Amino acid sequence: MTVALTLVAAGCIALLDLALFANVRVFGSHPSGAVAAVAVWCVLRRRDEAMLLAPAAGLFLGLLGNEPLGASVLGLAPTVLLAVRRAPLAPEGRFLTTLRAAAAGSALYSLTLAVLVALLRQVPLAPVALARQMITSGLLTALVAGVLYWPMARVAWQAHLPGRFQRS
Amino acid sequence: MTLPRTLTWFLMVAVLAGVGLLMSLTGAAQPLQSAAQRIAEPAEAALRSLSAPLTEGLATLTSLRRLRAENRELRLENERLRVALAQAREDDVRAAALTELLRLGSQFGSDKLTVANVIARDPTPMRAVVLIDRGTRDGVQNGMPVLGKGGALVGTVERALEGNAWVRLITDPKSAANAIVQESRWSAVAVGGPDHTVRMEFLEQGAEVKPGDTVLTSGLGGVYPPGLLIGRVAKVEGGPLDVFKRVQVEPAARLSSLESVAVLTGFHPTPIEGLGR
Repeated sequence: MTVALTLVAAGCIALLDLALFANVRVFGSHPSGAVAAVAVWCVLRRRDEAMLLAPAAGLFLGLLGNEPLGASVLGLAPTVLLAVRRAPLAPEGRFLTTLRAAAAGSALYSLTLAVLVALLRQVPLAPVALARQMITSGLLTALVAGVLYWPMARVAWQAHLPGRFQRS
Repeated sequence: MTLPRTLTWFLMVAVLAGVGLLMSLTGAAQPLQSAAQRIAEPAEAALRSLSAPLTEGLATLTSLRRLRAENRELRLENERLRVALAQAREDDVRAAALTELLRLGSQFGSDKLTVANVIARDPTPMRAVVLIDRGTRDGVQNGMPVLGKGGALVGTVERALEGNAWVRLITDPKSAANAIVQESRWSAVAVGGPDHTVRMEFLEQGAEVKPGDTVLTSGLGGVYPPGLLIGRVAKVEGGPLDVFKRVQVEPAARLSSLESVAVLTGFHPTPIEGLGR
């Protein structure tokens, strides 16, 4: 996929996150569509694509959303690191890796954003509420990643490792 | 992925994020954000409206338990309010009825009236008898006249008990009162009928009576004080060969829906042998 298409995908992910996933309130929290998409992308697509997609999506989120510009760029980085570093060689373990990366990545994304917003906009941090938000959002994002994984695996699978795991 | 490459990437991302955050801090990011939001606004609005049913459905599903509890609570509160409203309306009706009855006090003297509520009706066929919640301990005695809200005659105390009294209505077949037609001053006896009507008996054929005339108690016989309103003449029948006219009287008091009455406790009947029933 070209860089341009990756950027378009990043824009679409940011739009979907803001227009759809931000409104899906479950127990006072919402899943992060961007984290879920990045986690799935990291596992299923080439690493260089994922490493471009995540900061681009973060930039779009900063431009289109209400958060400080750059906060999501930093917030999405842990997801890439978790998914890419832990991506297994065998395809069987990729699904669980995606879920783990989405859950942990979402929790870290929430933490990063909360800390940056607190620092830059003098919004007080509420540790208990933040912990609850991190856990709920992590679980919901893992769920979304699980839903996204199978259709994306069918249409967008491309091994980032050479050899026998490439789709025949 | 090698560690140095990951580190390099992360450093680049951190620098990019730092620049963005710095721009946000200085306000330089605001024009960029405004422009981007203006461009993306139609697409975002379209997506939001498309996804609205899904998000609303999810929100309803997740708050189902809270909604159920709220619904239960509101139903309970609604029931409580309905009961309170019904009681308030009932109190209003009773207060209005009692106020009207108390006005009679000025006519008969407040110490001569006892206001009572109708609490039961005698279910015996052809009888027109009601039970009131005042009895001998309230000064109610057998034979005392009982009036309706407007002061019209309702009946007589048939049997006074300690806390209650049975009142025989003027429509009861056993009821009889000496009456007078106010307009023509002709006297007769107003008696109850088996069909719960009141008719005047022993009214001479030559008596001048017409529908709409007022019928009052005459006071003859000492059973009722004079001047109590019984009702109005509803129908006059009888041919020239009949000895008496047949006159039907429409009672002034609404006997079918009696709720409150006043017992004329200041009046003690002294029946004269051979007059009335």
